[in-house]
This record gives sequence, C-alpha cells and structure tokens, in this order.
Amino acid sequence: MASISFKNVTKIYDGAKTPVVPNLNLEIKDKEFIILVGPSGCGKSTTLRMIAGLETVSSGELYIGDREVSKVPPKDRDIAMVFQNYALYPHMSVYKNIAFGLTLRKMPKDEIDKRVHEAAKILDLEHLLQRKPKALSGGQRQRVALGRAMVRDPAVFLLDEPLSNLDAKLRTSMRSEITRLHKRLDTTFVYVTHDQTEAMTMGDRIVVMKDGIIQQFDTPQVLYNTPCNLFVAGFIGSPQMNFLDAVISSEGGKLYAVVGSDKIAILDDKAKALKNYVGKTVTMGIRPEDFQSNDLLTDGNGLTAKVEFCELLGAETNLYVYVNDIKVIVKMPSSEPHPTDDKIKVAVKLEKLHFFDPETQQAICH
Amino acid sequence: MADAQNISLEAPDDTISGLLAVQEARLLPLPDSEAVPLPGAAGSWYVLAAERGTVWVSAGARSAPLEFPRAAAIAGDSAATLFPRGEAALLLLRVCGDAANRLLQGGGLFFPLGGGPVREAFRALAAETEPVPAPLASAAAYRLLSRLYGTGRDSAGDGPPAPRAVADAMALMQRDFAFLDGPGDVAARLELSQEYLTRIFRKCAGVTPGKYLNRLRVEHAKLLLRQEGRTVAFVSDACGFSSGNYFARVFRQFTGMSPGEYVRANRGEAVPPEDLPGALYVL
Repeated sequence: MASISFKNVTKIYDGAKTPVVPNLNLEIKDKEFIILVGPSGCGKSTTLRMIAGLETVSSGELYIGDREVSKVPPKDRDIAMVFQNYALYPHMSVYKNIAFGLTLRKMPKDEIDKRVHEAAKILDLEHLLQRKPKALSGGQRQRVALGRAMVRDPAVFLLDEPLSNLDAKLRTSMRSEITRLHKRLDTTFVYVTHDQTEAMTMGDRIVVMKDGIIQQFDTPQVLYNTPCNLFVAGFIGSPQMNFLDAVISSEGGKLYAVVGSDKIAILDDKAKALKNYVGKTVTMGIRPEDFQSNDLLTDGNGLTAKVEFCELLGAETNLYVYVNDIKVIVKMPSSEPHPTDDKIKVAVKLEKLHFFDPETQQAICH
Repeated sequence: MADAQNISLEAPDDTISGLLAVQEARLLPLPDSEAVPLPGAAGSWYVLAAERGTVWVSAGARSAPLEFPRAAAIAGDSAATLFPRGEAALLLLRVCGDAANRLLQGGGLFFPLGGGPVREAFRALAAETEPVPAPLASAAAYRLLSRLYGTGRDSAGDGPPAPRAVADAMALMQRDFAFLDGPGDVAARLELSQEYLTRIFRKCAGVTPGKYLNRLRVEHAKLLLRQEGRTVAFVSDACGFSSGNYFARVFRQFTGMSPGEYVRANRGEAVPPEDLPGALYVL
C-alpha cells in the first residue's frame, strides 16, 4: 500500500525541444483509484510509465510511499503493471504466465501455487489454468494479466488502457470487475484511459490531462458539475457539452445571455461573476441532459432551434439541432418525434448553465 | 559483413560533395566498456547504427543508448563519445553535402527504426566493386536519408514508398517481441496475410519478419544473460522462445556460441535497468 507523489516532475525525450510532461505536481493517496485521462499524446501514459520506471524522470522527484524512486529500477518499486496488449507469453500456460514473476523471485513452490489458485479463484480462471493464451478470449486474457499482477501483492497497480482491446460489452463488464478488484485488494490503483466513461465510472478521483499539464484533478462529480475550463467541460460527459457564443446584456438590473434572437435569463448567483462581462461575448455551456421538457418553457429559458434529425431511444429522445448555426445535442425526456427542419424552442435548465471566458478558456461560473 | 570492415570509396568530385557524398563507411568494433571519442569532422555527419550489442552515444548534454534497430545521426563537430556496454560494433557512415545538412540539421537525432536502412546502405556499398564510385555511394546515402525519415522510396528511387505496415510490424515486434507467437502472430495482429507481410518486410528491411523477431529476442537475451542469477531456461522463457532447444539454436545462429558459452564469456557485466526493454513484464 502506498501513496504516490510527483514533485515538479518534468519529462523531456532526447532530442525533443519541448517536454512531454512539464512540471507535474500530483499527490495520489494510499488506496485511491486514480484515473489519468486525456486525448492521445497528452502525457498520461508517460506519467504512468514514469511511476513504473519504464520512463526516466528528466527532473524533479517522484515518491512511492516515503521513498524517492526516480533512480530505483522498475523491479524494486513494488508495483505491478497491466498492459493493453495483455503481454502474455504465448508458449506458457495460464498457470505459468501468472506464476512467472514469482518464480523469478525464487518464491517457494507451494506459496506460488497458493497465490496462483487464489488469484484464479477471484478472477474465475480456475478452469483455464492449463490452457495457453491462444485458447482464451480477450476478456479472459486480460484477467490472466490482472492475475499475474495480483499474485505479486504489489503496493501499487498500474493499468495502461487495459480494456482498449475488448469489445464494448466485455468492456462494460470488465469495468465493474476491476472496480470490485480494487475494493477487494484495497490498494492504490492508477489507471490510464482515453475513455471518459471508464474515467467517470471507475475512479475515486480523475486527473484530466492535456499537453502534459493537469487541467483538473478531482472527483468525477466535481469534474462533471464544475469543470474548470472549456477543455475539461468538453472532455467529461457523453454526449459532450454544447458550447454557444452568448453576449451578456443587462436590462432592468437583470443579466441575460443573448444567443441570436433568444435571451436567456442569468440567475443571481451566476450574475455576480458575469457582471464584468456585460457587452462582451462569452462561451455558454449546456450539457445535452440539461435541457428540460418544453412544458417548462418560459420567457427567459428558451432557445430557438432547427431540427437536423431526431433519435428516438424509447425512454428519451436525442435531438440533433442547430442553434444560431451551431450544432447542439438535446436530450429530451419525451419520445415525441420531430421532423427534419422543424423549428422548435428548447428549454434549458437555468441553474445548470456554465459560462467560460473565450479568451482564457477558463470557467467564469457554473 | 565482417569482411567489409572498411569500405574503400572513390573521392567525390565537388558537385557530389556539395550535394551528398559518403566520406567514410566502416564497421567499427568497440572493445568492452572503453569510451571511444568520435573523431571531429566539421561539415560532415555521422550516421550510426548498432551492428552488435549496445552503445551509449553521448553528444553534448545528451546521452542515449544505441542498439538494434535504432540509428543516430550526429554532427561531425559535436565531440561525441561512444560508451559500449559489453562488446559491440557500430556501422558508421560519414556523409556531407547540402542534402545531409538540410535533413539532419538539429543534430543528435535518433531514428527508432533507422538500423535497418543503415544496414541496407552499408550492404549496398559493400556489394559494389571497390573503390565504390562516388555517384553510387551518393545514391545509397540519398536512399538512406530519405528512408530514415520514413518518406523514402525503395531501391532505385522509383519504387513505392516504404509501406506503413512494415513500420507497424517493426514497432509491434520491438515492443512485444517476447509475447508474439512468431511472424504469423505479427501478421494476424496487423490483420495482414503472412505472405504479404513477409514479402514487403523483406523488401524494405532486408530480412524476414521471423529473422527480425529472433534478432530482437537474441539481443534481449544477451542483456539478460549478463545479469547475475539468470538461468538460461529463464532467459529463454522471458524472451519468448518456445523451448530451450530452439533458443539455443537461434542464439547460436546469431552469435556463433551457445547461451552457456555466452554466459561464461560475459557474465557479471553491469547492465543498467534502462537497457532492458520490457523489464517490467518479468517483474
């Protein structure tokens, strides 16, 4: 069991002009399940590989527990890693694959046998122990890779996109299996993914990265409710948040966000933060699920929209519409169909609006 | 290639020197753990690839390992030093001219898959009658530089661009050599037929995927065998060989000795952990 701490860590590759990770500061608590998430090339895998020791730290300090490990070889860091490609030896049985690292450490045979069977039981692999990886499904192979990590009883589990090679159904079930495993093993997990659904459903806290820089590090709920900038707002949530240009205007002591010909009333708690933006354009964010039934349309909460197409999902409807020539996705509770090119009004939940400064891209208020 | 340690080259005329000329092409054996400075050569570029073993190349503040299949390009005046880890040998080509300056400016460049093209260029020069005519050497250098940047054209410059599939196959094998079930598995993972992959791979890299894979495994095995406490059986397993006998046979093909003989000759040499690709797999 161990905490992980990055102190001013920089990673720059030989010959590169700019660092892939500049000045990273991150504190991961003991037994936490942390997700590193971001688009390709954002530095999340490099960060994980630095914890593993597969990448050197160019400058700064990296601690696992109380120990500074940037010069410690991978095998002495008390970590185990699970890779996207499973990394199973094709010529070895499942048993031997799981036991291999322990054999290397010269653990007594009966102890190895006990650990392999315990892990196999937890991961439902007991009946597959004599098979070769070729005879297993993708999900079973990934469970073998998890088993190999488990038997080592490491202080930290590192998982690098472990579900990317699996189909959608298997991914969903493996998500909950890994979450259960974390609870059962009660140890620190660091999990890299580019899939925001995995991030939202699995982690205690999520690190959202872009260009090697942490954009926001918090619980899934905080990231969803109060994203600190446009990038996080667009990255977390599926379908992603809609963004519209809005001009802030003031009438009779009240503030409004003007979008085309529509005026959206700004609630008092948000108006305080927006008063310096009167006359200026801001970026207004609305999540697709933060629209509401048209029965609740009032004077100050409606946006005029032209329907592009309508997806009836049974319990709800996804409307793909244009608002002021910007494509917007609206989730509606009703299952009422709308024909293409239909002009409608959609009602927004005023308390759920987000506002961002288009220049700095930072959040103004939520 | 051992009989072509120093390839004799015809002196280029001014035109070729101005465009792109090969000034030196040789196999540079490096004795174990002895630092060797690269002779200063202002106005030229060294293109280096490991023929055997691992060599750390240090130029200015940068230092990085050079092992198969990587290649490096270093400015001739950068006062670089070579630090071999164990017995090693480098393929060294020294080039000059406008094309080299334009393509290699920046210096200290590493090419993750450049070893194959350097070997090919060296082999092409060694196959010519010595002294190698300067225009032929220049053409070989042009093919080499363009292939280093992945935009090159095959053979005489009129073939198709080097296929992406070959680069993908090389990257996959470098990363997962221990976990691949032979060249058939490589082709399957890339969703290609094995016959097609073998054909284009041989055309671009000069060897079959199977031989390339085995070479990576043997290079990794050599590093592991030098570590204390590693048995030959463990190294065979960890490098992805399906049996000890097969490991011994392949190892002898590449090194001329059995794994046991190699251990006796090299055991105990310090191997830094960063020299071990995939070290975490066998934690």
